[in-house]
Amino acid sequence: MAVPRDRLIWFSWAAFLLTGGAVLRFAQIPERALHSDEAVQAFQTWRLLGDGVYDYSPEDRHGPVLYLLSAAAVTLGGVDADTLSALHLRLFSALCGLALIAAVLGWGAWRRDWAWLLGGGLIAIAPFVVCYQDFYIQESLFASLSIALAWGVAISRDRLSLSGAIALGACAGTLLATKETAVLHFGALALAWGLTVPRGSATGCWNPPRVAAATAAAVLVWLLWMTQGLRRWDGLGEGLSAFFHYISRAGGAGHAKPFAYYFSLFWPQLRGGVWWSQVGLLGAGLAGGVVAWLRRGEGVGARRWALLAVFAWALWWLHSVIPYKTPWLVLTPTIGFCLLAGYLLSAIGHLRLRVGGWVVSLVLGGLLVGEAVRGWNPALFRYADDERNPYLYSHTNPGFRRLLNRLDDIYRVEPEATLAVVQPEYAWPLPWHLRHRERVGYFSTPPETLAQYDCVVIDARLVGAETPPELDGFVVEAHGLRTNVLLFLYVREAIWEALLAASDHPA
Amino acid sequence: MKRIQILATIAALAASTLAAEEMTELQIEFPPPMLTGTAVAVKLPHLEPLNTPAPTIMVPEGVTNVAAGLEVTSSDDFPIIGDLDLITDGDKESEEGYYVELLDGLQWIQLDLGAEHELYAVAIWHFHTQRRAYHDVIVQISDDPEFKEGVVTVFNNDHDNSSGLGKGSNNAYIETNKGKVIAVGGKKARYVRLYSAGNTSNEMNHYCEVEVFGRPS
Repeated sequence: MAVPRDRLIWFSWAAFLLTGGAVLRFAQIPERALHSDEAVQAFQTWRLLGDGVYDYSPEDRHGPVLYLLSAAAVTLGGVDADTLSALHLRLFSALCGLALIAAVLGWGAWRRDWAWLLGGGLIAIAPFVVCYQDFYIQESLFASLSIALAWGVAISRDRLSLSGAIALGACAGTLLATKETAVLHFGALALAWGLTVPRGSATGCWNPPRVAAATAAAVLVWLLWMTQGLRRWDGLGEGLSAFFHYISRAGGAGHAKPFAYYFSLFWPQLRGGVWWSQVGLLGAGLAGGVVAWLRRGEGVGARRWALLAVFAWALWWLHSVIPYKTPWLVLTPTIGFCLLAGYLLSAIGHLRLRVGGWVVSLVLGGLLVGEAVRGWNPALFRYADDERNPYLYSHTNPGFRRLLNRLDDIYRVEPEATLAVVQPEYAWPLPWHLRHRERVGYFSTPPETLAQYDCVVIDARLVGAETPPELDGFVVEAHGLRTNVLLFLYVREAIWEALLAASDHPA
Repeated sequence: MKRIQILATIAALAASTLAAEEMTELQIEFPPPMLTGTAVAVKLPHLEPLNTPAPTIMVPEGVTNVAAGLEVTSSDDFPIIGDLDLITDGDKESEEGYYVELLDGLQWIQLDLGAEHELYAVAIWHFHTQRRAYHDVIVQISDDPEFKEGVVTVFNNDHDNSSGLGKGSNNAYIETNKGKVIAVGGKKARYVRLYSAGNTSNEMNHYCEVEVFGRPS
């Protein structure tokens, strides 16, 4: 049976937008220095590939899903602990994001629904979303699962089978095992459900058997993940205690910021001589949310969009209220705003206006696309890891690459050189880059045996103005780690002379 | 002969004593890194003082900043941010609108003093709102505008000669609002050229202000 021509056109547009999103993400992957958080996650995945076990710690580590899934994915791709690189892992994150985009665009093309097509297109091109869907942290996978769960719950009010309930439960269990902050997403979803419930239908299609099935699926799947396939039963207790740790961290833990922090990320601003703005997306997300809310009584479809709107904005406000803030925490609501912006454009396009609703929609859509395209070069390429990029947080400076190059120079002339890294946070991502080196020791404060090492990388704040006496005679170089965090590299003079003799720049 | 025998006996005794002393391999500690959470952003006050005091430079009467308001030329004649005239406008602030950003890699700026001067100091302010150090900072003076002949290097912290301008012995320094004051010692020249090759935060080059203290020859 031939595919209808108009459906072919819809799917062609979807494929075009998906391809564009993929090109942006893949091209951007190598542009950015590895964030310390990415390096910590990558290190754990590397250990998992080598040892076969992920060592969960409820105090400061997230659930095992990211590591287990990405380890499985790279293994399928023929990668092992020796050949694993950050690019492989960032590719995994990018594919998690692209899977969501493919689902959104595919849904829109199948149903010939402009809202989904336009929303999916905006997800594909929004600089903030592109940036964090390429980060090897939980967020890309987490946001994709969360949006899928939210839309699934929205549909389930009016249409739900037993297998659908089980799938939603499994999704919720996986979400929780990915990151403990899933409880915030569940809370926002519950609020969205409650505020958009039609009269006389509080539970919709959720009868007791389906509730039981979904709950059982959620618990079982969560259990399977936390025990890593029933192999590590202590993961169960650790997973439960994690929530208490994260409640205490919500107070700030050094990352406390004012209520308007997330708004300030997207607000127009001049930083380092460059203008940044995604206020159009924010505004369209707000307007789309308002329109969805006002139209919630107009039928099943409208109610689903209203639930999505409340979910996205409730999550944004929840994260704004909680003192602990990092930019990637609002990836999920930002994706929600992209969808709401698509809904807004579609709604305007159907209006009967003097100039034609589609003209107004085209102009607004053009402005949103223009805002995104204008932000590509600075946010994703030119200043991809520069401290003037407002979407980044505690990011590794591009200048850090010089330190890596210098260490390569040293190991080239002295492969067995011993190195001490002295930095309160262990100079991540340096441990990731040196993971194959055995003769490297990591200290949070200077050890007494510092002079024994051939090279020392030490936080400038631990050194002060004078060279430590035990490093007298060492050659010193300054390097950057993050904004306001400098590292001094001390190299034994004999190694330095050998390095110079072997270099292309004889003195 | 007897003396030689005694000396040989002493040497043999010493050797056997050393041989008898137990030698053990030096054990160096290599503790693994701890897995930490998201690093807290470090904010420093704009005018954080550093411990290193600025050098005291003695100059004759009549020495002034002879670079004030002068035209500046550069290897990058179309700066990414700002204009070259910001470098001699007297403003040493590091905020938006007060600094010029040049391309990445080794770049230079040059001042033409109009005539030969006795130079006593050069003061440089790179970007200093955040803690960073600039690489391959080299300051040269010459009477040749092309800097091919009669070039005198008064500061060079390029200790691996990556710039190709010679290996320097000066130290890297962390930028502050006090700038970097370099003694020139009364040497005579018409042109002053300043190099840098990126910084610890990124590969770009920045100047807020340059002052040249001297008097006409």
